Amino acid sequence: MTIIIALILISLLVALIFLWLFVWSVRSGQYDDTDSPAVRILMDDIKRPKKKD
Amino acid sequence: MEILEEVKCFHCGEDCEESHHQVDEKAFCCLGCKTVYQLLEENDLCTYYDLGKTPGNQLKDFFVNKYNFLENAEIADQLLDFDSPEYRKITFDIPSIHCSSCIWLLENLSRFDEGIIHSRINFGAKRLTIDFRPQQTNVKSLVELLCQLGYEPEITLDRQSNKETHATHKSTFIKLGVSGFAYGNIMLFSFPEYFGINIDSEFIPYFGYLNLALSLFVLMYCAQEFFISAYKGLSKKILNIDLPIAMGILALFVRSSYEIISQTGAGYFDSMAALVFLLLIGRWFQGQTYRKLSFDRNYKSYFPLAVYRIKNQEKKSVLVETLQVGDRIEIRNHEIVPCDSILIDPITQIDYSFVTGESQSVQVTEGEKIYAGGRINGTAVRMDILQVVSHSYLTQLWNNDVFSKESHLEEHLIINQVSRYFTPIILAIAVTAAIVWAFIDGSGVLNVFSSVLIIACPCALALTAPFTLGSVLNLLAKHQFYLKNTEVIERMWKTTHIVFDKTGTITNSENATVAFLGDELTQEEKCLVAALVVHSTHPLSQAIYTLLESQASVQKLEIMDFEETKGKGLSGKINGKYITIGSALSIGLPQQSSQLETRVYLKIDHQIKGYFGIQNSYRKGLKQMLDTLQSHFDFTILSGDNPAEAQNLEVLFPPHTNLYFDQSPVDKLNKINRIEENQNCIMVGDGLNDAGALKASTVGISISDSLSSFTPASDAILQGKRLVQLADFMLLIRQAKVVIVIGFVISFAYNIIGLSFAVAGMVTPIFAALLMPISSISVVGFTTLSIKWLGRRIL
Repeated sequence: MTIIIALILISLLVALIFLWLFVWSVRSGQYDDTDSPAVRILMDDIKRPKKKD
Repeated sequence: MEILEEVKCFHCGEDCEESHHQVDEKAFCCLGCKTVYQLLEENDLCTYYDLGKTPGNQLKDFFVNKYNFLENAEIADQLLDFDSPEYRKITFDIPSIHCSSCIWLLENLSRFDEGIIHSRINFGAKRLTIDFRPQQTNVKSLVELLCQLGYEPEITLDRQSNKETHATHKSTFIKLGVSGFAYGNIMLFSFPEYFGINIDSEFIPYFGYLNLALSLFVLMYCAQEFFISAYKGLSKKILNIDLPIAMGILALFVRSSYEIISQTGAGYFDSMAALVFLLLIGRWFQGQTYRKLSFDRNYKSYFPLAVYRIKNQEKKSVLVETLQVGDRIEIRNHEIVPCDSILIDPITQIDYSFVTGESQSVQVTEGEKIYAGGRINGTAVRMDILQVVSHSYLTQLWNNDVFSKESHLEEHLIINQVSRYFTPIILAIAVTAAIVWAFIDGSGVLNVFSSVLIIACPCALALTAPFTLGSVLNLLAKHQFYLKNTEVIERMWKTTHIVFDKTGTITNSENATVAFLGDELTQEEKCLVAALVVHSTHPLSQAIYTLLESQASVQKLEIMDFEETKGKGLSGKINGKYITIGSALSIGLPQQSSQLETRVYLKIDHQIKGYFGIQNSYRKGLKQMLDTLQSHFDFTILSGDNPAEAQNLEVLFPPHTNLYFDQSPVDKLNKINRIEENQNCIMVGDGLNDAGALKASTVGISISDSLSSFTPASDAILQGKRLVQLADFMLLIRQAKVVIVIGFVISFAYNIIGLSFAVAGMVTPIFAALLMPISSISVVGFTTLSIKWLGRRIL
């Protein structure tokens, strides 16, 4: 049974790491714009060369 | 040519008139849309049209030279985020970003201009960031490029002000994260308790202390806003909904801590964390809705950013704020006078529609005073400043009582009306139960008292209104009806009267039907007339110009002896021919009366050719909308125009509708005040001339055909073409009230069940842990789904 308690404590530690990661990602602005990156990733790069006249 | 089927513009999707512009077998509604298409085609950027159907913005008039002030380095630099000799960064707010095609196009801006290194969009904030090389391009050409593409940026005096809101979003997210984390982990540590497992280990008591430690974060950090709000309410002697919430949270914490420390139980920390987590989600949802709709701007947005100052014969563009009394400035055609001044040049025409609502322009001669907010019609004029920007007439107008009227938010909110009774009742129940238990079993008193406070905590109740109103707000915004906040919905419930402005509101000024009656005009004559009317900004002249432009290939012609007389017409000499256009009187005909259309007569070289008949066109579907609305509302029309349209309006509106014509903004304001004495009313208007009336009414809806222009006094913005859906919107808003009431009933039902258990002294931690989230989630689910269902049925 002691092992379960140890596991729970480890899970708390892991959860704390994720909490820290979450706080960091919020602070670094990853949630500022949740719309455009989702669209941007689907767009192809323009391969054709630009017309020159 | 007759068009059997409606042709939509390939670029923006608007209906094309009979004479649409065509390229590559694609139809365009106007020259602007066609030009953008050609520009995109030339740069191989037509993928734009693959990403969305008719993604383009409708193009408004684009005045060349409008952004000349950006040539001034001092002003342009103010807009920069980063500045170095090789690299600059600038951010623009672009309200017209609306779809994925916009993202694609604006992120490929570098293909239009070699100097642009990179551009990036923040879609949520509708913001575009451009990195560019200052040697190759400049701010002005960037702005002009954006305008050409139909993405006019907003450049205003107060652009710095919206940065602070960012920090608060972040802290909301972090609070949400921390409370969610605490909730999950406390549940984990409570597992032995939930299942009644008796683990024989020395570690077990420490779990309780861990829970206590996690809850401390929740209490001190995540829940602080409830305590602050409850305290603020109390200090204003208002029992708001946050008070019972704060009481519940505190009761949960104190009782649980006692149980842990005295080793008598496991406490209710999981319920407490769940409560805070769910409530924060509610707040976040509300905030999310507001952020999408943040349109509250102030009058400064309407002022020009910079004007030309003339000093020592030298013209230099300067910031409006830096102007001093006595400075000489030059204001050009269509520009707004930023501050009260004295005219130096002999004569000019000023359009005060911005301030007074009078659409006809006023003639001002040398030495006369020009008030701030006037728009110059005609050639550039010089003036000396009498008052600096902040003291001027326009600012005073906005600082008027009507505009600064604070809404009594606390009294309006439905939730606060409920909580006014809720808190005392709960306290009474808790005290009574505690007293009764004192006679039955003295040891149960504290237990029962705190159980009642815990269970009665109005979590579900507090979530009902924000989720319902927030969903309604989102749904309406999707249909281009933007409300300032949820409070507007609550105020709409009380209204029984709708007041309409006429021109630009129920009529569609862009779609006025113009027809020429009289001798057939030759192509040359059409060109001549077009060349004359192009110089006037009067709506009639513009309507005529649009007609002629579609019939003949119009070119710029030299004009002599140009004259525009207020209320009469235009005259000028072009290619040796003397052309007069205007009212019957101005060309020597007797005054016509009682006609249903506005007539503009044309005279070329003493020969009367005929007249242009201009008819206001009402928005399609108006009659149906009014028929639906009349079962709930009375109507009034307040028009600034003459009564020419009275007959048409009488047909459209139900009998007993009051029609008022020739109303000045002050008249409108007074009429609204008089109506408000008996009935709460909604004012539907456009432009700043209705500003007073919009503010004085219970709910002011400003009609806008382009979202970047509306008045600061309004509570809501409605896209012009959506006006005819107003009846549907009102129905949805009324139904939302029913949804909220049902939500309240559900949450009260949960409360009654919980309270009966609490009073009986039977609340266990697991009972509280189950009941609280279930009640909140079921109420939120119910309200959100019913609004979704209503939206699908009604809109």
